[in-house]
Formats: sequence, C-alpha cells, structure tokens
Amino acid sequence: MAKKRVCRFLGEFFEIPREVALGLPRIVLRGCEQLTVENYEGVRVYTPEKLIVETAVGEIEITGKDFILRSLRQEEVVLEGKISALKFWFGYKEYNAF
Amino acid sequence: MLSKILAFWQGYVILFVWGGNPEEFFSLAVKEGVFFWDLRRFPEGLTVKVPALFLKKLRGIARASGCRFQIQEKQGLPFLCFYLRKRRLFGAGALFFCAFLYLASSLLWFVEVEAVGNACFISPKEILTVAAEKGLKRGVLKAGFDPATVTSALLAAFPSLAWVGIEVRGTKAKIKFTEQLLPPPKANGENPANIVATKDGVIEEILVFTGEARVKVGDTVQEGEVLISGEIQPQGTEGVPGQEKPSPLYVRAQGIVKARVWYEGEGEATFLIEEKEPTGRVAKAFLLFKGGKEFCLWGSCVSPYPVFQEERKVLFTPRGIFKETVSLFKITYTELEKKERFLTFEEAYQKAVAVASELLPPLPAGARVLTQREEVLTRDHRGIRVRVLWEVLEEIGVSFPLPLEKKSKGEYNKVTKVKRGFLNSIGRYL
Repeated sequence: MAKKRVCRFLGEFFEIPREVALGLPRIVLRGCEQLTVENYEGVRVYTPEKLIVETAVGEIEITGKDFILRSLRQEEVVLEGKISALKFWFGYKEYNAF
Repeated sequence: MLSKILAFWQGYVILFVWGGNPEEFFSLAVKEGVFFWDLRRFPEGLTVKVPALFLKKLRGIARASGCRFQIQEKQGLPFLCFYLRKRRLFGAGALFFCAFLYLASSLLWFVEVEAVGNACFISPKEILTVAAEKGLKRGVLKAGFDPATVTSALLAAFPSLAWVGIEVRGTKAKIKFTEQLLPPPKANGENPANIVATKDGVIEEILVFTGEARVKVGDTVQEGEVLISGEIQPQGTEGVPGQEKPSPLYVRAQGIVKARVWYEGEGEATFLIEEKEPTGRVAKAFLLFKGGKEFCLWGSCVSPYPVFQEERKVLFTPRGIFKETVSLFKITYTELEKKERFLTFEEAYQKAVAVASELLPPLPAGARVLTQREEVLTRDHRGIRVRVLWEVLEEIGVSFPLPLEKKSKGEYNKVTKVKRGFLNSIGRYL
C-alpha cells in the first residue's frame, strides 16, 4: 500500500503517465471497431462475441460480435470487430490505488 | 504492413487449435514471448497465425494446457525457398521472366517525332536518321543515349530548328521540335510586285501602303486586273524639254483591296423523296484486316440485309509489332427500309437552298456576307430549282511579281468559281 502511494506521488511529481507509474492498463478504443489493451496480464475468455482481459486493476469485459484478435503479444492485445459494450470488473482483485 | 513483411520474411504458419483450454494455451504462450495475430474462433476451434520459429515452444505449451494444434498452411519466404528448391526449373523460369521483364522495360521500343507549333518543313525521317546516328533508335537502352548530345546534334544538323526536346516515357521516346518562323521574303524594292485582283468584283475599299492605286472605289474589276501597281511613274517631270524621261520606280506594292464579290449556286429538290429508316434489326460481325486483306472472324462480313447501313469500328490496332497494318474491326449492319414521302413546298425549297449553298465555294478568311438572296428558277409538279446568290465583301488583292507577264485568266486564282461575264447578268442587283 505504502509502495503504491509512493509510486503515485512520484508519478504525479515527475508527471509520468499513470500506466507507467502504476502499471494501469491503457485502453485505446477506435470508434467501435478496434480496441487495444496495453499492459494486460492475460486473456481469460475469447469467443466471437466476448473477450475478457485480465489486468492489474481487474477484469475488462468487451462484448459485441465478429471478434478477431488481430494481434496477441506480451505487451498488447488488439481486438477487431463490432464492439457494443465495455465493462470493468474491479471486485475481482483487491485494488486500492485510487 | 511492416509486421506483415517481417512475418513473410521469417515465415509463418496458420495453426488450427482445438480441445483443452485455448485461453490458457495462448496466455502461457504469450508469457513465453510467443506472439500471435489474426486469431479467429470457430465452433470447432481456433485458427491463428504464428511465426514458424515458435512451433517447438508451442508443442510443450499445448501439452501443458491440454490443447492440440495442427498446421493448416505454411507461408513466407523460407517455405517458398524450400518449395522452389524442389522445383528448380520453375524458380529459374520465374527469375528469368522477372529479369526479361526488367530488361524489356529498360529498352526503347518506340521512337516518335512530333512537330510542335509551326508548319513542318523538316521530314520526321530526317530527324530520326540524325537521332539514330547519335544513339537514339529502337532497341537501345534507355540509359544508353544522352538526350543532350542528340538534341545538340539535331540542332546542328537542322539550322531551321528553334527547339528540340526529347521526352522518354516508359518504352517510348518522343522527339519534339519546333521550327523557326522564317521572316517573309524581302519586301520593298527587292521583289517588285503588283497587287492584282483574284476575282471579279466591285471595289468597295482600297488602302494603299506602297505602290500606286490603279482603281478607285466603285470600279468594276476583273480577275487579273492590276489594282495597286508596283511601278511608280515619277510625276512632275514629264514633258519638260531637255530632260530625259526618268525611269519608273519599282516597288513591291502593298495594300488592302476589298471588293464586293458575287457567288452563285443552283440547287434542285424533288417533292417526292425516298427516305431510309432503320427497321430495328441489327447484325454484327468481327473482321480482321491484315496486309490489305480482310478475314472474317465471326459473323457474316457480307450484309444480310438488302438495304443497310454499315458502321465499322476499330477495336484494336497494334502498332509497331507487325510490318503491315493489322486492325480488328467490329462491323454493325443496320437494316434500313425505304419509304417514300412528299415534301411540302417549304421543305423542298429549304432543301434546294441547302443543296445550292453547298455548291458555293468556301469563303476566304475575313470575308463577310453582305446579302443573301434566293430565287425560284423553275417549279413544276416534280420539283423545284432554286438559285442562291451571295454578295460577299472580301479582300481580292494578291501580290504578283513584276514584270507582269500576260497570263491567261484563271492562273491568278484557280479555285474561283465565279462565272465569266457573271457581272453583266447580275446588273439588276447592283
């Protein structure tokens, strides 16, 4: 806890982006067609209608249709398809960063 | 795009993954540094693209996650090389083809000459000959000749050239050139000349720049008559005793002489005319024209209809390949039907006027039609005959060198259609 607070303080002090300072996932949504999640930990579920990505702050659930994982690598996951909803499940992990 | 090029360079496989827990399989693999792309899920399993060098790693991961995978396709340069190693001749052929294409596209296949602007007095063949001597000819490498050398050689060979440019586009080189505008023949004094009439007419306007006017406004002149003389008689010294008659001064007469000139044309039209109308039936044929002979490729090259209209359209003419002219034609025969029709007096009159007007010679540049008259000459139950008379104001003077030899009429202007003695017959219009 104390470590996180120090990281947060130093991050704000030196104006370091939060995803770097705190290891938060960086989510980029281009229209409703493409979604990029950086700083993720793993893919929990992948079907053509649903993708659940595990991150440091919890799980992110993306729903829609015709999903294709355009890229799956250690640093990012790129999803393409028709995205209709984005949900955050923060209860999954104990998280006190905010 | 870059990642795709890299993937092609490294070689990749399309895997089909099924059974077990695929999510775990991918998560474990990603943690091991493997990366995937184009992952699609189907009811039976998943397809994914992965670099070929990770295949060994994936075997262990699949065993751990309970998944199975199968290689569906192998793509990329390493696999292509492997394939070509097995089919050496095919590879050599492909390589040869690429090399041939490159070589063929780096040669000049066509050399054309185009005159820009002024009238062309230099023949394109002469230009091509000189250009060929300097290395610009069919079959040479595009880089094998120096445009500056060819240009300067052409300018040296033809002093009348004002500008030469060489444009190479694809396999075609175009030599463009412009000739110098040469000054007109020497004026005053050098070539003494009269201005003579090219046509019969009545002088309407006369403006003398050089020379002596021999006619005045309102005079009736005939073809060949001197309008402005280049021979100027000295004045004021005639008849003075003791002095020799001074010789006349010869100049090149210059000036503008405008006259009223009459053009006449007669035309006929019958009241009963035969018209051809399309029936709607059309036949088509394809024809190959080669070396003056025609070969029918498809359809009948003889019209299936007794009365028809034939339309030929060139589909394809390869240039520079064959020595003879080769063309592919598409022929369309439109069936026509003859129909008889009676024209009204007005229609027949207009038609006769149009026929008569067509018979009139083309008016020279700058000519202005003053009046236009039409009159019915004869009319009966069969048709109508109409005369069209145009009164035109135009320049009739033309320079004719001195000494003016006696020339027969018609040599001054061979295209004139004005009838001899016509002026007398139109006295009532004057």
